[in-house]
Amino acid sequence: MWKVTLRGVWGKKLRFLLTGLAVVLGVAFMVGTLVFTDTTRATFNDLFSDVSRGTDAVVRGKKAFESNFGEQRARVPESVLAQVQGVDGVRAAEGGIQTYAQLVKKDGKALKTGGAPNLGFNYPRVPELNPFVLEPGSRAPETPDEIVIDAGSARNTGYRVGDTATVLTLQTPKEHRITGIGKFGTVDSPGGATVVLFTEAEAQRVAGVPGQFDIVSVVGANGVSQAVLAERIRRVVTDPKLEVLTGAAYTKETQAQIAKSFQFFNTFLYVFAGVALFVGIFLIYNTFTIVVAQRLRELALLRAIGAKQGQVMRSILLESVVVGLFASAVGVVGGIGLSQVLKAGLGAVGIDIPSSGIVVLPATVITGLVVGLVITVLSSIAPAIRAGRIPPMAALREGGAETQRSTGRFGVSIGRLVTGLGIFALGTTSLLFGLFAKPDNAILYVGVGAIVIFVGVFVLAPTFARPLSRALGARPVGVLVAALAVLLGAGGVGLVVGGFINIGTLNVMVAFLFVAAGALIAAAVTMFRAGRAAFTIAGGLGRENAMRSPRRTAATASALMIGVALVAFIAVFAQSIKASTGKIVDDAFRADLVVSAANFQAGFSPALAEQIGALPEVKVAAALRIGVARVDGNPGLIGAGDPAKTSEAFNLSGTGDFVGLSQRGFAVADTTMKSKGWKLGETVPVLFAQTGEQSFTIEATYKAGAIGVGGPPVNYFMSGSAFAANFPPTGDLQVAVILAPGVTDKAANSAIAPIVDRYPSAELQDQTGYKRAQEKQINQLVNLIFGLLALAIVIAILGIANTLGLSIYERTREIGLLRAVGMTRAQLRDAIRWESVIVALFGTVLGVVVGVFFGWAVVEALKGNGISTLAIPYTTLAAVVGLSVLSGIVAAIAPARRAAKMNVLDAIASE
Amino acid sequence: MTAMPAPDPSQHVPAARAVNASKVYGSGDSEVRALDGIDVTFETGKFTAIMGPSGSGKSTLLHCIAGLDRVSSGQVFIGAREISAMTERELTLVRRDELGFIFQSFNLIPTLNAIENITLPMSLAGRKPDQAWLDTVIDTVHLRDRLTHRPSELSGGQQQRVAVARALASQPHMIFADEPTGNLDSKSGTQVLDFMRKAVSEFNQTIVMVTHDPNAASYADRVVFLADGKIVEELSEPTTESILGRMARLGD
Repeated sequence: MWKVTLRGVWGKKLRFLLTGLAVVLGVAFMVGTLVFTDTTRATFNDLFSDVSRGTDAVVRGKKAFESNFGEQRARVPESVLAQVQGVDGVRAAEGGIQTYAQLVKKDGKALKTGGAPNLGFNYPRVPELNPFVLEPGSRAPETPDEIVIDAGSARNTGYRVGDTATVLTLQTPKEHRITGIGKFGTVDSPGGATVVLFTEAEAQRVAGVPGQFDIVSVVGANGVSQAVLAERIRRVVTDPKLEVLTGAAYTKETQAQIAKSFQFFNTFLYVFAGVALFVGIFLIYNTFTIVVAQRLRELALLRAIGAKQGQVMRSILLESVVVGLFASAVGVVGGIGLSQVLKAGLGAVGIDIPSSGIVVLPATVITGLVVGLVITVLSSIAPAIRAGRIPPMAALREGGAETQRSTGRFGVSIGRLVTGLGIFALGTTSLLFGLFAKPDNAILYVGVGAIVIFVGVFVLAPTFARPLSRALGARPVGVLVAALAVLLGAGGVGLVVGGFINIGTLNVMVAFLFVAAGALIAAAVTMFRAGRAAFTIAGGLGRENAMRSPRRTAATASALMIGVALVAFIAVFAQSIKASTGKIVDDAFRADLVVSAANFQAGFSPALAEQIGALPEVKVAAALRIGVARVDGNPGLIGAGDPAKTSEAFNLSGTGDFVGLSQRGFAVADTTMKSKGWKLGETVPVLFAQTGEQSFTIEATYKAGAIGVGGPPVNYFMSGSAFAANFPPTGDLQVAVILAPGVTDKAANSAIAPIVDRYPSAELQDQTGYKRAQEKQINQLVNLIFGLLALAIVIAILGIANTLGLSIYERTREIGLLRAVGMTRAQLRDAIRWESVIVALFGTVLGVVVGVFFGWAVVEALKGNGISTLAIPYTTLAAVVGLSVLSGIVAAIAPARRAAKMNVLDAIASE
Repeated sequence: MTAMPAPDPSQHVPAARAVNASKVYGSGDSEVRALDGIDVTFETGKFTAIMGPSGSGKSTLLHCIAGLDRVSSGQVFIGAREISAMTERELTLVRRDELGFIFQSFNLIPTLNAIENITLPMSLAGRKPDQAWLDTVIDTVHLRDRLTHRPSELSGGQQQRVAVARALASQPHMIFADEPTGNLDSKSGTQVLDFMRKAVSEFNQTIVMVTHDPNAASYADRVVFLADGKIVEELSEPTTESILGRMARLGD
């Protein structure tokens, strides 16, 4: 039995390779993520334990609370440093300041990173506490005008020792002389961040915290253990807001934080690995089902000559084990390669990960193999059971594999309909419960609900596969496909024209244009033929073939459905966010021009708003800065600025006295009022990291989203002075500008632009530009997600090709007969292409419907949290449908070629 | 172009002929000569049966003349046109527009119903069938009440009658049948053979049929006997008895 099985697998290498491909890709993605994570963790752990080796203890503020925007801690007063220095066993101690500092490049633009922070520190004078290794010719900064920069920044800006560079900080930008360039331990910069090192006093000044440190680091005397040292310091530092940690504990915490900072990225990748594997399940199930059906006679013969039910079943399972193991092994190897691609990709966007050996833990390899194997075997259980049930008599019966089990009068089994609807209802309930009831683990309910919905649709799909395939193969669809082909062809011709125009200038580009044009025109011609086929017998046969096996068509289409549904969901969600943001900008934004910070972390100096406000062309310049506090137990963003100016620049449409906000009062967004059940005039506790818990009175409300348009929701607002009393100095994130009456945009621009130019982290936009910039940010993320989802779609297209290939193999005689009575090869290819297009459209239609449903549900659930309207991106969805037609054509390439090559005699001569 | 080809005595172009046709499989020691220099002519309006033992090359001969397979050397003509020199596409079009086929089994496309199967070659050509002729054919094979049935809903005999109707419907130059009654019970087989005979006698069709059943061959005007890729005997106006006699002599 084993021998028979193994021979079977070996005999159909290509088919199993295709089956396993989904597993290979899914496992590779998962293993790649694991290896990447382990490698970066190990690298950073080494790095940080290396650079913090000299630190034996630290004193810092206790964690006040934690939010999505990081931990919030109080600062350490300078007086503590003197206290610590006096403790017995302390050899040296020094205060540390961390702040925002960004270099301006030689071209006047701010030095940007791929998401890593722009950090400013004080240069550590105690050698044991200094992680920076100065390059030859460098020295520490001695005066407030001198700085040391990290080697990565030096490389990216071209600055050398002795150069003068402008540094953006929370204060007015200032020129500093570079006295040194330093490496962070062995690497150019810590995790891609840029670093500017000031003198202690200058660091305190630019951070706006004179007399304070973020942390005090301690070096112990020889012979004093870290624990003892920390204990002795604890006896001296009695401030309840401060805490003392051993150096080892601190290092460990830092390492954990680094790991956490990669967590989001990793989760993101795991989700896509999961999607790929999920799609794989459908394909493996489908392939095994078809293969079992095709081998009906062979398996029945085995039964007839004495193989037991269980033996037949186990032989199919064994086959899946072989395929699963092989595919997983390939996936593991591929994943290790992929981890290097990920690393290179991050390096390309500026997140430099120090090179070190690849860390492949045994657990990673085992996880990859086990997951791949389990998924393959699980997917083949149902086909295996079915194989076991084949009666020995089937060996003697005539009959194609594609014939269906007898079903109800409408070709629909009632049992399937009921089961499918039940599963679908279950999934929908879980999804909606997670979204609207908002339980603790809402994400879990939503995710599981989505998966169950997919399964429900998969079970249901065969019940409507026939009518839907018939509709999708009808003539009007053919007209649309042909029209799409004409469009595509026109695009190809356009490229050719473009190529000729540019000939002689950029020959590489021109060559590429011609190749792309060729591919496009070829695709267009093929697609046109396919569309035209809808009007001929070839298309009719393709349509009948798509309809003849509803389960197979449905299973193949379901795999595509998943990827398309996720794309449609993301598209609807993103479009709704864009539409909502646009609506808020239209409704709330009275400003003519807006200056915004290039990124959330890097604000700009409040001096900018003052300078703009002083211009005669400007009526109001309303600045907005943001801080994090815990309001009534929930961390939230608190916006601040001049209330009068803010209410003039934004249409707040709220209640209460916004303009007259007191030192102890604040304004709350209407949605928060509603969800908290607060009333105007109520007093709520607000916990600040620096000043502890305070009571604030709700003195006004405003429409949610009206403040901090486009960014994360700013649900609280207080006056600038109340903010300054409770938060450390903070840069502005936005300045909304209303022009004086009669001032043209052009005149205003030429007055304001020179000021903004002096702050390279700030950007000047009009309303349209602002809206577009917001949309651009969303689009970038959406495109990244689409790129990753393409993986799932490619797997599904391979699935279509695989199923078509198997079906065609089954229809050898039929194809032979068609060819014998006069079907040309071109007509045969048309028929197969049209079948493929129908299956692809089937999956796409299901996917779009499910995806739009997801989008609707999520948007409805999030209404009031930055989303106000449901917007359906018709163009994107139409493009998805168009692409699915194209992918159907592509999926049919190999099967069509194979069918056309089939020998006519093979079919008719076989008795 | 598909008008019933009437025999033209002045020019006398036969419906089909093979000139010194050979078909060789493999090479060297493993060379098999399925057809070994065959010369044969099929006259218009005649029903010819090809007989011979298994491996005699009778099916290969049919396939080569019908444009389903190619000869290794020699020439094959359908009417005045040499099909042995045609491209794959030209051959396909000849099969579609000028020839009809009846095979032993799996004659019909399972996704098409009876009438769609009957008109399939014309649909492939994008032509409208001649409705009057189609009605005649359908009534001749008694399929009027089965036209919308799929092959799976038809008996074996009905399926073969659909195949006969398909072969006749496009009014082809000639019809090739490969063991058309091989899978049928004797009653259904007789029916199918009667229709084929009728097509020749009443509609002046030309039919070439491969069979090993002497009774089936007795419906033909002429029987050609093959052995080892060569024509070894011919018999005109055969009867079952005369065929059996020749077969006994040939040692089948």
